[in-house]
Amino acid sequence: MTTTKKDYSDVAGPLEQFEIKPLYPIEIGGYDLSFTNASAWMIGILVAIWAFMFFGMRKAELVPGRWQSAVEGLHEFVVGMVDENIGPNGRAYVPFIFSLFIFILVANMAGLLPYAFTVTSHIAVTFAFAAFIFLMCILIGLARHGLAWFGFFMPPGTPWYLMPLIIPIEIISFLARPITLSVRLFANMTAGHILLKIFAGFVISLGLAGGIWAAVGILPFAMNVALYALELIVAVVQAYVFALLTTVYLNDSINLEH
Amino acid sequence: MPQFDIARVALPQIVWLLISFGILFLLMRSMLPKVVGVAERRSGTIGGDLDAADKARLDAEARREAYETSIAKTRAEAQDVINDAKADAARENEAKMKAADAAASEKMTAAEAELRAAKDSALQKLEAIAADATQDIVERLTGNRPPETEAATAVAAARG
Repeated sequence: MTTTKKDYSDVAGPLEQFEIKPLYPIEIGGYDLSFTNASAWMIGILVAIWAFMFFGMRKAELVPGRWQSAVEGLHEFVVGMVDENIGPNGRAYVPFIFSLFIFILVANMAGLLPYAFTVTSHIAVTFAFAAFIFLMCILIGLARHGLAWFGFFMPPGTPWYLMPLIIPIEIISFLARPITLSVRLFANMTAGHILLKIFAGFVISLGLAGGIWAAVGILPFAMNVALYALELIVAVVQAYVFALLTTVYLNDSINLEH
Repeated sequence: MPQFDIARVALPQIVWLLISFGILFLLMRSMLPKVVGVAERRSGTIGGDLDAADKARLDAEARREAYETSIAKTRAEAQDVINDAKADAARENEAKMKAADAAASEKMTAAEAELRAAKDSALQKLEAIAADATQDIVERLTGNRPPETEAATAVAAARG
């Protein structure tokens, strides 16, 4: 009896869901590039998005059906975000922002499925995105404005005696962008999933304790239902925030008016 | 936390992220123009339809105006015809009245002339009777009858 209890509590470990498990080991030049459960989820997300886009736009009718409306609505949403934050120069970046938004959105939502692995709960993934966006912002800024782009660190209208203070602050806040951007998404997803697992673990332990404790198990179960609703909101909001901040950062590189 | 086991978990994830997100980006870049195209086609169709509707409205307006002017013209023409007819009728009436007046006054003058002639002849007869009566009276008084011309002259003188 005690052994079964131990087995269940092992399974319910709140951090086990983040484990990377190689499904098909690949090693190239001494580097581990294994196809893992994370890779499988990424490919699954890719296929899901492709299917959503493909079957939504297959007919591309003037009077859209529900599915086509969903695709067009999502696209319009991203275009609106880009127009609002970057302006007319931003249209070229719509495919990138759209891909980013839909990838993170689907990854966050897919992570809420039972037994799922959450791609965006890994700092390696979120930081890879953030670092790529960070480098992209620098390159676009330099390509569009040359060295004048560094004037970005000196907000116009700053009194000269505040310069020694303002410029380092601006540089630090700029350098902090990839960290805040990646940690925000990673921490939100990780924390939410840990909480869900912990409360689920309570439900299991209380249920196994039997008797009056099994009845008390309703409480963490109700908590989990509420948390799950909250996590659905967090999944959407974090994808939105990530895409929105990317447009804001891109705007700083594209339109140099601070 | 497995996430912080960077050396072990980072590389395979980043590589597979590059692969899957790269494919996703290329896919979206090839698929989104269709979405944009549909939206543009739709707004074009809607704009075209609105333009056509606007044109039809203007056309209808022009037609209505033309109809109204033609109605007004017809009404004016009808009014002219009525006025002409009224004027004609009035003129005819006047002519008839004039003719009737003329006829009536002619008759009147004729009647007056006749009357005067009758009166004159009656007066002449009266004079003749007076002269005759004078002759009779003088004959009774004097016994000889004066000639008729003398009696007539006396009567005329007495009448003054």
